[in-house]
Amino acid sequence: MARKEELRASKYSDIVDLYSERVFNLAIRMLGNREDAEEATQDVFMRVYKSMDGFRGDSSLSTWIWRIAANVCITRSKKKKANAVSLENSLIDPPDGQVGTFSGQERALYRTELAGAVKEFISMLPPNESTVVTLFYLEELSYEEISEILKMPLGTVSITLHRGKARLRELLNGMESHL
Amino acid sequence: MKCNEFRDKLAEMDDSRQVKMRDKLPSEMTDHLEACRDCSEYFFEMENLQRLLMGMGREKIPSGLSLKLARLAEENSRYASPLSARAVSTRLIRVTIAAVLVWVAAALLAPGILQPVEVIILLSAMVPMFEKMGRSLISDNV
Repeated sequence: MARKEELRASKYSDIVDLYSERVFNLAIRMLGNREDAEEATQDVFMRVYKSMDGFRGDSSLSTWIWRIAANVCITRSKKKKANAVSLENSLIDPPDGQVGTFSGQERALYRTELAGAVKEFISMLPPNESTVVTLFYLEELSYEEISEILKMPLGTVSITLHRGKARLRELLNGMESHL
Repeated sequence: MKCNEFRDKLAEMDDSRQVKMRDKLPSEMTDHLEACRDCSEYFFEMENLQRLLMGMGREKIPSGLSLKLARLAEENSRYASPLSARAVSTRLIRVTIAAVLVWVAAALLAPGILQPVEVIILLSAMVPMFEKMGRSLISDNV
């Protein structure tokens, strides 16, 4: 019994070493800030530890962990969105609201922020879309893997990804139209 | 080629994650791209987005969070350690009981106070009593 517990704890430590940074990155993309992402990551690993005995190996370990992580982040993201006032405007607006008054240098600087903005915009997407976009682009998972993690048909993964990207494009256009 | 068709094809190409794939657009798509201003804009916007998404770097996990997660693992290990202590205590008490029984047997046999058969009967009567004492000791200590 003691040996089993030790093995369990050691296996858990390995999982933390291997997945903590990746889970944190999924959480930060989906939730949009570090504090929420930290809480979600802790929540994920608590669940992983608690349900380790229930893991039957029907899917791969990574699929199982991603599924827990995605579920935690989607639930938190839905709660957050239900409580939040739209962040969209505050993010799209350029600094100080000086629309159309940027110098070339300021404009160039603002454009370099596009990359950062995309990360923020991902957290504004509906939870399913932000999960699929993050798993596809950040984790470089295949449609098949995402389909297994989210228990979603392949076609739905593809449509969700394209919808997410279409929304991101609109958000970026909204940001650039201020320049 | 119609705009919808062009955009669907473009989406299919995105799935490969290869921006460079777009350099080799089929001729039908290239023709449409040159003819349609909307799709041309759309194409460059999507290409820009694709590049941004592909260039998303990972962020380092905060050291505080790493520590918290490690502590969680340590707590799990600590949860395992009382069981190890219990196992050790049980073994120690069993060895002690065995030693006491051997000593009692020797003390009774050597001066010829009891016959071997009598010693065996006596000891087998004592074993459950020692076991009960041992169990209560374990539950008190762990």
